[in-house]
Amino acid sequence: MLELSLPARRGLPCHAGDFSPRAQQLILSHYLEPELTMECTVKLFANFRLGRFKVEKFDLEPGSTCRDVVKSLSIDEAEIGVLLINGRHVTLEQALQPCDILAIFPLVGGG
Amino acid sequence: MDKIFRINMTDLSTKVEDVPADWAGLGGRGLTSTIVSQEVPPTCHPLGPSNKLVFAPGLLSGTAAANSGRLSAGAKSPLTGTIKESNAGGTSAQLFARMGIKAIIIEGMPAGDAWYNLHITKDGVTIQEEKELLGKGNFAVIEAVEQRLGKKIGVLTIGPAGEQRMTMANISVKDPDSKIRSHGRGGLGAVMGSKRIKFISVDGTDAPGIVIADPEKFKVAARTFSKALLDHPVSGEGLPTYGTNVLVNIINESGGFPTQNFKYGQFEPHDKISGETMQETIVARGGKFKHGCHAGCIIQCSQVYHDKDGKYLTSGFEYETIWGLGADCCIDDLDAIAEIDNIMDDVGVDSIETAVTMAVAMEAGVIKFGDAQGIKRLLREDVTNGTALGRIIGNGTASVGSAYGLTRVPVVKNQAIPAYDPRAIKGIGITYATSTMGADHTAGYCIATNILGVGGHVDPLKKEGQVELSRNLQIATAAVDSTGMCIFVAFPALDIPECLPALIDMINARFGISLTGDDVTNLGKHILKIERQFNIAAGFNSSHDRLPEFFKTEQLPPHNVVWDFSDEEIDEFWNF
Repeated sequence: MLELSLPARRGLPCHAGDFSPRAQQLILSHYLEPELTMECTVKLFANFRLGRFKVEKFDLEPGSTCRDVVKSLSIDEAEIGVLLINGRHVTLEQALQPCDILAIFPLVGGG
Repeated sequence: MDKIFRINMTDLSTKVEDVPADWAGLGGRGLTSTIVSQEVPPTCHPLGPSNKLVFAPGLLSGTAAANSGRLSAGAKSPLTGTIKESNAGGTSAQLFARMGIKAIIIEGMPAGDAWYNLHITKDGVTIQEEKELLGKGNFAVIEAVEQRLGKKIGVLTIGPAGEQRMTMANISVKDPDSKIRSHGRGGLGAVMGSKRIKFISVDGTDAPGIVIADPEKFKVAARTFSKALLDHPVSGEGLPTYGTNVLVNIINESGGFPTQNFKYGQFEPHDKISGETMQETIVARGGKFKHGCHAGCIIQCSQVYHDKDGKYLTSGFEYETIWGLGADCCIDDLDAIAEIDNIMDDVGVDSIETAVTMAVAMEAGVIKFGDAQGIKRLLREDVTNGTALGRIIGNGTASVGSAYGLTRVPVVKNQAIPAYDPRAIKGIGITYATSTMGADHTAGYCIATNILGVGGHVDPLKKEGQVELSRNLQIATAAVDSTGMCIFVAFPALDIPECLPALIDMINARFGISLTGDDVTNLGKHILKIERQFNIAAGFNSSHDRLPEFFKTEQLPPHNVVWDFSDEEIDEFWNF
């Protein structure tokens, strides 16, 4: 039932959520030459999808933060309601790790 | 002056009474819970003559205040055995308020087999025998009552489930489009059925209307209040566009989206049933993605959903229903879910209780997970006709769990747990456990602060701060439920400083009184305490304020978390 983020082109056994970020890094360093980018998945929701996308993979520079991703997508920070990495709430300052899934929501509610 | 309309179904008499002084400042839930507390013996059988069914519009219903058209229904619940208040939109709250009706109290029970309808005008109530509409679904009842009494008539009705006194039965309220809103939770339709009332018609002809004590002050406050509702991104933009179903994706992403009878926290095809997909589908098929459940609603979170041929399929298509049939029953087809939603409205069953019941029935092997046709058959044939299986299902989640010897039965005080898993969203677990109503997300909507970032942030996966959060929200909700306001006014009220004072100013201007914020908080506390007192007198104690055992022992993926509050930690809730 889990959504898997498989960096298929590299054939890595990297399932976000199954491994801690540290373990993911170890796996990466084991399989790869040092790389200049890391792959993360970005998901957008509600009106953030308009003119953009639902889900896409990004090659990010190591050390990239949520704010860097938000800026690159031209999303107004003031409109952001919730940021989740791998299902956990984070702030804009949070740095991403390889294979992270970043979900960006405007302020939404219901119930 | 407002009146109390009292209907005695034992001797088929009716009375119009003055409002007792200690009820005068109450409305909605505050009034229904007060009347039930004062007049219903807590140990009575909920389907017997001692129980009473009470309807009350809110303090601001019938005025020009935005979103004030909610009607409260109260009784001792046949599902939970606790006190119950369930509120709904539709046209009746505003009609009652403008007719000068503070509350309607239905008591007693007829001795014979005859069925009745009640006709309510500003002058009183007429009890008439009803033959023609027995066994009919709610849509047919509304159509027939409109033919008899005109398009403007308000209607409260029960379907076949209510007639058969099933504890998942709801009371349907006609909405402005002659469709249905529901007093969904707690089996109040069974209470109406036990009193042998098929429907209540509400004729607002020559209603005296509302006299506002300070019209100028009211106008200013109402404007401030409306502006707050429209300015907040949730009530002003998210809800009108995507409906409550906007929650599918965010709750799924957070890992607290109960799936396959609360086995998993995420549903892989979630986007197929999401608010975003629903909105696109509605637009493509010519439905309406904005729609109010009552006149004067400016949030418009409801919608009209058409089938692929552009014909009406359902309206008021809510997140909880879509989650329940979608993720919990594993149906990834929005059209099939919409069709079942419409059947539930017609048969007259609570969409949360029913969906969770079906998921448990799937776990029991009655039908397979994902079997939408099976659900339709169980509702249309078994529940409607009252077969033995239909009655097991019609009595809800706990009934099916018990009949099939299951342990993963998500209920608190016998009422189905709705669309947020308490292991991964711990604040809502405190609300489920402690609510005087049984498992009820609206009683203290911790999702706002745990997940949505409204009213601050309390980490959903940690225990810290959850009891206090739930307590504060349950107190505030009990007060808001007394105003006739839609609970979604809480989103702006939590974030926009002018919103709550404007709401209090409207109440003050309406009645010529001077409540403060503290008075409103105290009202909320008072309501919770009288409700709890009723439950204690009915035999409940802190051991009932608990979640089912499986939440403690079965880890919920993807966060692999369990429910880890101690009994003492939960019981802290009532320290106020």
